[in-house]
Amino acid sequence: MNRMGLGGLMRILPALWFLQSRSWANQVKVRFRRLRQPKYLIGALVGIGYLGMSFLPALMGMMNAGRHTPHQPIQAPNFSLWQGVTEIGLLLWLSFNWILPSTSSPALQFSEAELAFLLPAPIGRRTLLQYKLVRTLVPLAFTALTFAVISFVFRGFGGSSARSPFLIRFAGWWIVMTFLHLHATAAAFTMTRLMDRGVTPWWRRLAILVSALAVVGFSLFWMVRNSPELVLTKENFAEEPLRWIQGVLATPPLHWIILPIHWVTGPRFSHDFLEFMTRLPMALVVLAAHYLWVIRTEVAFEEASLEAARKRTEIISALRAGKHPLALGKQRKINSPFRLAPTGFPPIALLWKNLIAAGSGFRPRIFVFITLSVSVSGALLVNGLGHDSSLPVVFFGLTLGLLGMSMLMGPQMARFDFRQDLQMVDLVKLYPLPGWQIVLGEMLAPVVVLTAIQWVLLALATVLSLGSQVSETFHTPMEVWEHLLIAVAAGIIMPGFNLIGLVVPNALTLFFPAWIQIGKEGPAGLEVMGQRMIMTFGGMILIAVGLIPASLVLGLCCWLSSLFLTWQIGVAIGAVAALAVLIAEGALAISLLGKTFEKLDLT
Amino acid sequence: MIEVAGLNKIYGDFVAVRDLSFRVQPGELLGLVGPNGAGKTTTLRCLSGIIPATSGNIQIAGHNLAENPLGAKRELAIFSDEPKLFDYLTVQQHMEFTARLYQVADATDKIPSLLAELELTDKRNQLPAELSRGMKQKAAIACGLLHSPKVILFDEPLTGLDPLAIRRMKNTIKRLANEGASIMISSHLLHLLEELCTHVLIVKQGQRAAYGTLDQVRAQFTGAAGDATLEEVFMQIAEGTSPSDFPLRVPPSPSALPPSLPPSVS
Repeated sequence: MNRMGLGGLMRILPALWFLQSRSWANQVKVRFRRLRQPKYLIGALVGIGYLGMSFLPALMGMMNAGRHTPHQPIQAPNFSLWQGVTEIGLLLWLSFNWILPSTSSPALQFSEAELAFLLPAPIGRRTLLQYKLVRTLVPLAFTALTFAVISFVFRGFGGSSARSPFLIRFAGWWIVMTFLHLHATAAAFTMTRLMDRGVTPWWRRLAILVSALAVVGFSLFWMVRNSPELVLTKENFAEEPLRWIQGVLATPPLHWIILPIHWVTGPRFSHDFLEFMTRLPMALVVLAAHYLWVIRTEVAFEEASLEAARKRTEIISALRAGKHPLALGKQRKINSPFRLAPTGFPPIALLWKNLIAAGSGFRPRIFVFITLSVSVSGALLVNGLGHDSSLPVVFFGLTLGLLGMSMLMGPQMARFDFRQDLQMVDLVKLYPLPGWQIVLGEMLAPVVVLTAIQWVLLALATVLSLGSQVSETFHTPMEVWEHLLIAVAAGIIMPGFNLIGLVVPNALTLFFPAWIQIGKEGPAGLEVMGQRMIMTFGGMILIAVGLIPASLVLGLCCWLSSLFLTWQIGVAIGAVAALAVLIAEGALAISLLGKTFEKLDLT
Repeated sequence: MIEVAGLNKIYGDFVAVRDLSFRVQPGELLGLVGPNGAGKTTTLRCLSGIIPATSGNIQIAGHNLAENPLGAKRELAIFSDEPKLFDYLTVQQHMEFTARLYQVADATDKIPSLLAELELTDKRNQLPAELSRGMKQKAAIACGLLHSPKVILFDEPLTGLDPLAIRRMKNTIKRLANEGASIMISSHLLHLLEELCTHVLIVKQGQRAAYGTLDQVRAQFTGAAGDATLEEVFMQIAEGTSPSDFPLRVPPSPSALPPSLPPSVS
């Protein structure tokens, strides 16, 4: 492809601008047009309401910022500290980019249509690159805007950076984002060039790692020799390590490496427009140098872009088809979780299939192994540490937290049920099974997986609770068997709890398929976000309502038993009764959903 | 056997299939032809129970689809143009899964023989992403044939296949018909239908435009000589403005239409 200079870009610019502007305009039109459908309109209203509530305080703050900021105290050291933290983060990100560059999202992303129209067109390589780089500035601006709004909302944590006007934040972040994008592109081109010259990725990684270690090591050595050592106290443990790292960064040769990053982040951390303008030229010099690096690196990016576009199209198609993530990356065979006999209760086939979809970790023997390992580790922790150690209490709290999260969030996250398979509805509808069996089969796998995870967590929590550290902290002087009784009771209830937790999202999927994200990726936008919020909160309310009868039964059993027998008997009977209620509710729901599925016509 | 009487499929104001009736006897191959949007795929989806018919009567191997859908589905297999396989199941696992769904008691013996017959033995532990399109098609066929269906529906079965795979697919279809299956093939490849099919059903705008044996349909449009190709017949129909523009000059033979079907279900 022949080279074209700025003149070439100017000649082709109207066509490229036409492509871009019409694409955006059509996208907006489509979004507005679909608001005629109530489901999108309601979703949009909810989405706008949510965003309004989230960002209104920020907008109000922006308006009042000018009036309030002059009165805020200036803490210059804090300000440079935040810039230092940002610089460290960027340096790590850039280093990581060189060591393990992303293969799935190359720096220059062309859509298949762009490649089909632009590569064969009489457009020079440089023009194509310039178009792509300029085009990327727009999404980068949106990202910068998001960063600016977030940093503005949380400006109270930024020390004197709270004084930065919103426009400086936005422009500053935009410069940083552009720098990162240009650097990633240039790095990708350079790595391709190195590959062309026979430098394998492993040699490159080794060279970068050795160089990085040498630079950091030398800087550390120099810093330790010439500066006081790091002394942490209760008062300074939050900021002192960062200050110390800042000291290391200010020590050559690391300082020279980080200097371009320092220049690029300079505008973002300016106090006012005057400072911004004084720092801007050096940032622009860095950007210009990166631009020249990208433009002048002679690499045939076209083939890589073609391959990347093809892969991306496959990924998008797979996601839209609700296919499994395995379809997106390197495939590997997952062994069967158990031997599936050719005859027997048919829903077990769906459980078997969805357990394979869930991944290779869900095997009975792995589950038993993990439970035993975790329990033994917990017991060792409890016995190995002293009575005054707070570590078992911390782990106990964490375990209970995870248990609670798995119960609340698990049904939303374990989506290997109808939310995955409804995209294959043509296939599922062919199964010679009554609807209730298909619904049951689809929901079994997430119930099994969530219950297994919760039982492991419950086993760990129980072992930890047996130690004196936890019982003394929470003042729960119970016998060992009482601890075990409560754990077993909770373990009995959990499958029923998960069943109800999964019935609701699956019911919503069958009743409102257009409102639910089916598969891994769906339509995007404010209105879709609003739809998902409605369904998520609606689902949570339904789950809460569904749990009321079982909770009442459990409470009643415990209360009556404590009056006439013992509370322990009440817990035991109550758990079984609550499970029975939950299963009855689940069975009723599955029966109704089965009929719904039989009548389902997604066309 | 497939028996369809008065099949209608309506979406709101749009009639996708209108009053369609036909029959496919065991061993017969019916070619379903029509312009894009004529309702071919909708018809096949209704026949397979994937979508419910708005009204009409569908009998699959003696089972009324509306009254006994499970019985009908046990006798049926449908193969779409894009083989639908689960990304995370290997070929062997697909077959084990299908066996359990259809309760194929002798699956342990049938799976290896089907894999061998379709030259999939060395691919049995591979995932769909590792298979070529033709191999995926074969895997779908292996799953579909595991329960020995009496009714088989093909929707554009040769799409994307190489010449060798096309030859093998044609042989498979012929073999299945010879073994007594009632087969329907929807395709735009008219020469394929002329080569394979015993009967043809041409639909346009959801309605039956022509139906009968190949010779009968040719005769409808070219007179008693019946020397027109199926392509010529198709072009005549496609270029007509509505199905009423091409009157059936030769009535279908008594054996080509369902004799007395139960009243339509709606």
